[in-house]
Amino acid sequence: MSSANAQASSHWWRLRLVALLVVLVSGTVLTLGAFAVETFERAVAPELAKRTRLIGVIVRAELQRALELGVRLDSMAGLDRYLSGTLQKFDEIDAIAVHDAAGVPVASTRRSVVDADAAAGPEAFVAQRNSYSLPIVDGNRLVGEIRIEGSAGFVRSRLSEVLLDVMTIALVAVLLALESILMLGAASVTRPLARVFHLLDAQRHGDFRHRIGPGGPSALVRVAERLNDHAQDLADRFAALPSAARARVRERLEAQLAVGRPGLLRLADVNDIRPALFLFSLSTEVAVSFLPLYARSLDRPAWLAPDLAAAAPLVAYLLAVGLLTPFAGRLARRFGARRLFLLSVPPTVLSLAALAQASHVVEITFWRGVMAVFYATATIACQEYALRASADSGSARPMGAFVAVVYGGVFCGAALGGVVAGSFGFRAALLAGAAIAVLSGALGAALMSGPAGDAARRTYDLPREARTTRPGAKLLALLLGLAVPMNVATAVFVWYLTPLMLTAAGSGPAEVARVVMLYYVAIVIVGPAATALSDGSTGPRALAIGGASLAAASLLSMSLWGGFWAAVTATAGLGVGHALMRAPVYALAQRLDPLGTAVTPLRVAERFGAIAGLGACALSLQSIGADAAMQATGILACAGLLFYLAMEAAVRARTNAGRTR
Amino acid sequence: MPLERVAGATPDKNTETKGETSGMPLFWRIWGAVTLVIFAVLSLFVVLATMQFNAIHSTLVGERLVVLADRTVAPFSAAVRLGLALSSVRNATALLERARQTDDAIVALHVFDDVGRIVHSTLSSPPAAVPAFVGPARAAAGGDYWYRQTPEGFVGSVDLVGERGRSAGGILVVYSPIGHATQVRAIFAELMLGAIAALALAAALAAVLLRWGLSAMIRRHRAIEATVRDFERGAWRGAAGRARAKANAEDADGLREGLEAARARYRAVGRRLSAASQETT
Repeated sequence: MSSANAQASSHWWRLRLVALLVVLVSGTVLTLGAFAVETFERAVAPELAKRTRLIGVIVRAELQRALELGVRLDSMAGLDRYLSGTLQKFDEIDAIAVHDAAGVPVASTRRSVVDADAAAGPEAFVAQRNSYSLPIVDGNRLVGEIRIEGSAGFVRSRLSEVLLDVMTIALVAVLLALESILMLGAASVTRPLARVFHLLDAQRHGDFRHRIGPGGPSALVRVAERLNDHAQDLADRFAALPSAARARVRERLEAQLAVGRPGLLRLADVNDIRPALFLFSLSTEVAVSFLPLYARSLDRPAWLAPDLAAAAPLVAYLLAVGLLTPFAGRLARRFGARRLFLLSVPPTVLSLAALAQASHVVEITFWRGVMAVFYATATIACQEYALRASADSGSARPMGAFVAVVYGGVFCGAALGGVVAGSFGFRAALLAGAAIAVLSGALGAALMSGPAGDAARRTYDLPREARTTRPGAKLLALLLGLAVPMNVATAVFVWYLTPLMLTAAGSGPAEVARVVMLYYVAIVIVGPAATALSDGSTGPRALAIGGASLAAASLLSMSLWGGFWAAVTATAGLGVGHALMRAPVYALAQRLDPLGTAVTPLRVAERFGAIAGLGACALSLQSIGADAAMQATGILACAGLLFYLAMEAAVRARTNAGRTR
Repeated sequence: MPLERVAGATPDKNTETKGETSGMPLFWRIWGAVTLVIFAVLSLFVVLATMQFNAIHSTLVGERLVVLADRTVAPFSAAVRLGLALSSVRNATALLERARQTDDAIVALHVFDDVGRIVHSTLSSPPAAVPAFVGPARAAAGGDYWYRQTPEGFVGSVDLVGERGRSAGGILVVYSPIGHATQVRAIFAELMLGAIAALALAAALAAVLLRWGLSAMIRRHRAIEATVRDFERGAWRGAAGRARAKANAEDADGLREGLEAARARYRAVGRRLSAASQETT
């Protein structure tokens, strides 16, 4: 039996439940999404028709003004040029023609087929074409008519945007459902089962110091009550003895009893962090989709250009996160992960509320920096909790869960923030983020109650045999060969070059955001599978090398072809590659040093790798150009992988040589 | 389902009847939780999709207002370029009125000067100045057109470019929010109806899928239930003097063995405490 068995079994059923749930929820939401798109199409049709008609009315007014001045319809100079100019201004029309009263064309213009197709985008919908004929009247005489053909492509492109928006919302809904059902499943089945088995194990070995909260199916409730009563009864009877007898009995008892009321048994699980971290990450990222716009719309010092004002909060954020990362792990161990997380929530709420009230770009930059500091402490506190809760050190599971939850939160935060800001404004989105951060704090207080959230012993308190040799060369290879290139690629390619390149190619902000989101979606989807493979027969090393190879190949593929679809493929490929390697890299670091001392350098290398990569790219972009910067990122990933393999081979050769000697 | 088929138990009339239902509460519990989550997700989806529609539709309306303002601004721009005051434009009200009549939902068109004073309007008694939010919105747009949805309705505006490229004011179109609000409410109702239908289908499908997908887990919980019941019955029968009988149910995950061992340990410790208590008295 045992709690190990119960844990393995609960892990299995959770996976199965998650798979079923994802199928059910995504199927339902996508069905409703398709229905929503069809409903939207019908609902926006009248508005689109009004736009086309308005353009016709405007053109007619111009013509009638000329007619009032006595110019005949068939002798208006430059009519073709005027119609062409109007056509170029309004994407929603494909053709304008002016006919005389007999129906003979006087002037006409039509968008070329190539332009019309470009405006249309992918043929996701068959949209209705709007056509209008408006009479032209001179005094009491009908002198002709204007025929306007609305663009089906324009409607189609608007509707495909709606479809993409709906799909994004559907994905957000599925991720939220996943986190909710995991929380409900844990609360109603897996946790009660694990608690019962744990207490049973303790009592059969004579430890009667604890009780558990009854919960779950009725049989488990009855067992919990029985076991609790064992502990309580023995504690009461022991307390009733005179103190001399107590001391005598304690020596002979071969059992441990509670003094007073048995303490509540606290168990830690990797999944304890999920709901709180997911909501926290979501709340801090609500502003990510609109913060540059928000910053640009506020007052700024005269010397600060609008583009720099837009970038200032991101720079402050990265710097603050980078500066705090080396200390956050130590803080989490010193004060306890739970306390550090809970202490990080109020300043985050305050920062979000202050961002909502900000009127100057300096305020935005300052509060974004404050939020970054507490984002770093909160996320690292959760990471520490997950790593300590994982019974088997060297497993990719804690890091896999951490990465999936953080990236899921980032994705949902960005999407929800965009939707709420679009409907209710930036301030409402930020205040909603503050409310969600409060909720994350409440969930953290309720769920992160295991011993993994307590302050940790210092390394030198640990038994001598628990200490290992310093990881040295292998850790260096892991940091410089895999972790740094991975984070350089994320910061340079995903955050910086892809938006720049796509914007230059004519993509709007929404399209850029969708392409960037592909990276996060790939990590959220592939991450759990990578974790399972890492803990299974494949192992973390093979996954880390495979992921790094795929990431390097994706980056270098941009040298072979360019444009929108190349960026889409490379971003998705990079996301999959990083999903394969991110948790295994942490598992490898944990295996190098089970005490966890390798994790802090890994975090620091990740953060500073990203900042250094971004800085180097920004400084050199003017001189070398985006293509060369992208190639350099790919070459760095390749070189890092080769360096890792070479260092690993060298360390292995040295170890073998040591053994043979 | 008889107990022996799910948990390898020997037949017993009483336990069979109970055993048939023991896995069901867990199943319905999970089904209820899954249905609740799908309900929450669909509700959230309906709210988000409605908000998204609100954003899309208001963008379309706003863009139309800008088209209208852009076309109406031409005669005023011409006057300003000639160095004339905005108030000196003849037939200004008629020009604005002609634009207003393109759509019944247009509440008003105002021409305002560089400090926001309304110079011409389609309203018979217009306000003295444009609303306070217009200034910051114009500044943020940097001379470009802009539109915004406010609680009072939509507003769209185009700047009038005066001498040396400086802004000389602008045209503000105010549009009724009623039509848009009706559209948004209609979409919400339609999506809600669709969501209710989808929820009913999903709940039925969830029952089938969970029954199939979680059968092993439900079997295991039935076995736990049967083991606990078996242990409890053994306890009360043992207290009445009956010798320990062979277990009826399979020992799920070694639970019975664990319960027996924990009880034995509890009894042993309890007896020692009793002995210690008697020694002291």
